[in-house]
Amino acid sequence: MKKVSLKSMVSTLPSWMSGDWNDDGDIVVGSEVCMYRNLSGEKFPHMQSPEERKRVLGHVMSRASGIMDSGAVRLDSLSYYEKLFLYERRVIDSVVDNCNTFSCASVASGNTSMSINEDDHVKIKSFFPGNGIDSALSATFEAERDMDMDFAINGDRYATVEMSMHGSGIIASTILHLPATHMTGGSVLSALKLSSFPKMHSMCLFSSEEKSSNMIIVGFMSPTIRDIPSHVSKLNSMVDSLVDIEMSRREIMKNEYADIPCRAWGLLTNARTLSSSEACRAISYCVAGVGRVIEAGIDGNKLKKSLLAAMDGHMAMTTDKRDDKWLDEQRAKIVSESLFLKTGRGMMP
Amino acid sequence: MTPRMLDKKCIFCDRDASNRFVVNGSSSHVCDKCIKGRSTIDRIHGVFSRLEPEEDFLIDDGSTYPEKCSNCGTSLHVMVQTMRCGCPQCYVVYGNIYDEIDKATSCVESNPDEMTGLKIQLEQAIREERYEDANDIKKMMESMK
Repeated sequence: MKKVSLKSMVSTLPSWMSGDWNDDGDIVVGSEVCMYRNLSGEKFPHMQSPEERKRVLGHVMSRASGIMDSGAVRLDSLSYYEKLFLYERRVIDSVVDNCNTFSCASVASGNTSMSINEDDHVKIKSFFPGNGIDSALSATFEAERDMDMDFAINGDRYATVEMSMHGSGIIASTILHLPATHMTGGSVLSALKLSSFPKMHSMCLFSSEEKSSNMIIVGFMSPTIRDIPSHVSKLNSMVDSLVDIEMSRREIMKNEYADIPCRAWGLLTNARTLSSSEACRAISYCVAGVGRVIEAGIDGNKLKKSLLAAMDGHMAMTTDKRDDKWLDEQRAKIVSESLFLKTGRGMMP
Repeated sequence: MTPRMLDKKCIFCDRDASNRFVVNGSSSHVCDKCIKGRSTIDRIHGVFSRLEPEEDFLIDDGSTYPEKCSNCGTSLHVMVQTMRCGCPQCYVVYGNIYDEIDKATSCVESNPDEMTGLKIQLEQAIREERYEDANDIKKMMESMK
């Protein structure tokens, strides 16, 4: 399988950014499904000898190359920033992983990627823009079917490294962008209204927040495959209610917290240095304010480009310099340029 | 193969216990104080760190769980402490321990309500080392008491 050049990925827009960010489409950023599978009769990666890991890697890679045409990258040969770049692109789940000591690889094609010998022998991951959890599930199951491998099953459950994943071996989640909920002081966790999802043991609903970018991930782990459709419908209803909450909070923001997106806009367009978290948070607030308190005319693509420039891994991949201060100055310059409007930078009266 | 716990008093503090939970027909006891003070995951780990597999975990036919998985060498205690298996054979050797314990400890909760949901979120946050979130959830739980 051909090797992927990460430098060539820098200029392309990641799939989850291809969604429409105009109007209210920025709230539901993307939908992700991860499927964990292990080969029958083989120890899990963390218990294998180097020879066993190499053999499994070669075996799975040969199958993966038949279904994914874009190419592969060996994760154990990557630097921290290269892994960070892949993490930002949603190809891998963690920058700090076992790949420093284990032989593992990642292959990607379209909206689907595959990690081999990370924690489990095979992790198939599909990421679709917007509320596309059904498409992500279909793509994941299709990739599993195409691999046509003998995966380890205990009864009707798939055997996985993590005991909590034993069952369907699937995590499905939706990533939401909720800046107005944050800026108006509402806790996203309280917005989840957990009481309306009482069967949490069977559904294993979870959520986590990335505060600098005002993102929240809500999802489920299903013990059985047959329960997945009902869980998806519960998740979708939860996503709908969160979108409603965010929309109502944006109206509150317009009346009572208008200076927050305006300050964020000022920071983005005038700051001499910008850290990644500062830039992400400010862009996020601007998104909620565009058309409400910030002058209309900024299209979603400009914000997408500035968001890419705000990310640490992306910035590091554009240069060989690793000087933090220099990167912060460059970031401020690029973000400011990408947001600059010919019509001016004024606020709404 | 399912675990059976034999201790009749509170499995955490040896006090008289008024709460019973059942694992596949066999019962175990926990006092009120220990129920309130421990999260589900803590209880799961607590149960297993206190009990020796050879003595306390019996399979239905009276034999005990093997000390280690014969295929990969993962011990029962390591598996429960890390919640990670070493190979597919571990699931056959040890049965579905995670599910049994999860079921058992969830039986302790009288009504799965909002507080239960928050507790699960709190455990998840602590496990994933998201301490800011854990603090938020804790505050919400306190405000509900």
